[in-house]
Amino acid sequence: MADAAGDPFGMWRTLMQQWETQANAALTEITGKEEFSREMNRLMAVSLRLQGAFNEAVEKALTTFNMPSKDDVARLSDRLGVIETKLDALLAARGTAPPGPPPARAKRTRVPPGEARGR
Amino acid sequence: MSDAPGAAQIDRLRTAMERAVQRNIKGWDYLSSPGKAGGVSRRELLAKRGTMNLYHYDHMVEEIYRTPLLMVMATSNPSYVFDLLPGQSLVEFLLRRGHDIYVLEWTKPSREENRLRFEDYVLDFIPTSIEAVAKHSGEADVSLAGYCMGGLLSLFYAALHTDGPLRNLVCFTTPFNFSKFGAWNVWSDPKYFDVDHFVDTVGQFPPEMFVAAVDMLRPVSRVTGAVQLWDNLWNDEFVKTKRALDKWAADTLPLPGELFRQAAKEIIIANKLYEGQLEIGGRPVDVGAIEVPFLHVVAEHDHIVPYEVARELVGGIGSTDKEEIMLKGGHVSLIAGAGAVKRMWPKLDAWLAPRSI
Repeated sequence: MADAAGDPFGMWRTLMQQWETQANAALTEITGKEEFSREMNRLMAVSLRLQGAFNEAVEKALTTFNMPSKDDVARLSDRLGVIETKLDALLAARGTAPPGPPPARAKRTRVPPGEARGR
Repeated sequence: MSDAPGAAQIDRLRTAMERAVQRNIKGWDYLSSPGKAGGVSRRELLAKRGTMNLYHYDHMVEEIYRTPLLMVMATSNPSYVFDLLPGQSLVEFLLRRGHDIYVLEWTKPSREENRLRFEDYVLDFIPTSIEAVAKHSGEADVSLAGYCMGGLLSLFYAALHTDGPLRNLVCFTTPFNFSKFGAWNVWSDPKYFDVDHFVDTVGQFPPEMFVAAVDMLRPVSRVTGAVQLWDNLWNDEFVKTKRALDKWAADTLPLPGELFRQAAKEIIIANKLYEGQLEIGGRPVDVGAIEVPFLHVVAEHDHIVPYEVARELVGGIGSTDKEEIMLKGGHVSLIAGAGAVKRMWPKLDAWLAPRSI
């Protein structure tokens, strides 16, 4: 924390910290209430219904215009991801190593500082 | 140092003026440049399957501890918080202290992966990764360290594989008694929140929603955080860390819908883990069956996983060698940032080193 006595901004920082603590406490008391949860979840339910209806309408419109939807593109992206993973696995199975010498293996004999070796 | 009366005040005023000038100069830099992406240490991808990615980090010393350490990231965020910035990387710190580091991280799940459940993570992804670590390192046993939800996954794995190759288990800020979850309990009350309808509509749990929920736990902290950033714009280290952590928070990942459904219904609402009623793949998850050395590191000011939620975990573990360490800091500053460098990392090394030979 700042030294409020000598620092020209010290008092301001102290006040800011106090305000943050008090405001967080006051607001979390509100957000932690059942009424808040009920209203927040009610709003979310409305939002989900709207989102569902909107998605359905867009999907229908794209189908009408014979265009891919976001879901179609995402599915294609997923399939490409699977192909990439399989290619990586095939390359790994062939033993393809990165260019350059392999990193030297470290000795697994370390003991913590101060502990005797060979115990 | 000046002897003149009031000289100290003049010096402080001069410092304040210099910082004000620096704020203006660096403020433009801040606004006109992108944030650093994170992830600074050299690593190799050992295994990848859908959302699962297993990395091995290159050694930084010639002699390392025998037992490798597999760090398990939470499913909600990228793992570069373990490897944030040069000099502020937990991975780099542990590598320099002679640990052999593997990291299991999760990327954005595909739509097909919305069906993933705890069973997939605990009975497939983690055992597969441990096998890969054993094969790569040539060592039969491995230590696990999980952060937040990653801690929960590691805990489940340990409870369900008591005769497996686990040598040590470390959890960071891992929730246990979900009945003490405060606002989360109220928001997820089945009277008002229909989990099934939600998951069936959205498919994946959206990252924006998770970020908003975390923000609601400290509603004005985003505003005061911006003011604090302005106040510290002259301080390059502060700005660099703040930007990296802000970027990491903004990179929050969506959760597979089924995983969210299972977590919300069974773990948060029914509190089955704490009550000893949780089953994964038809097998009971009993943390009392865990007998390997266990460390739980918790943060004094954690508002995401408050201490009350995490407190009883260490008591429930069956090990005789078990310990809880509480440190100053919050949920993220426990593992990353300037405070973690001084507080958590040396403690983790001191606990792990004698148990890794």
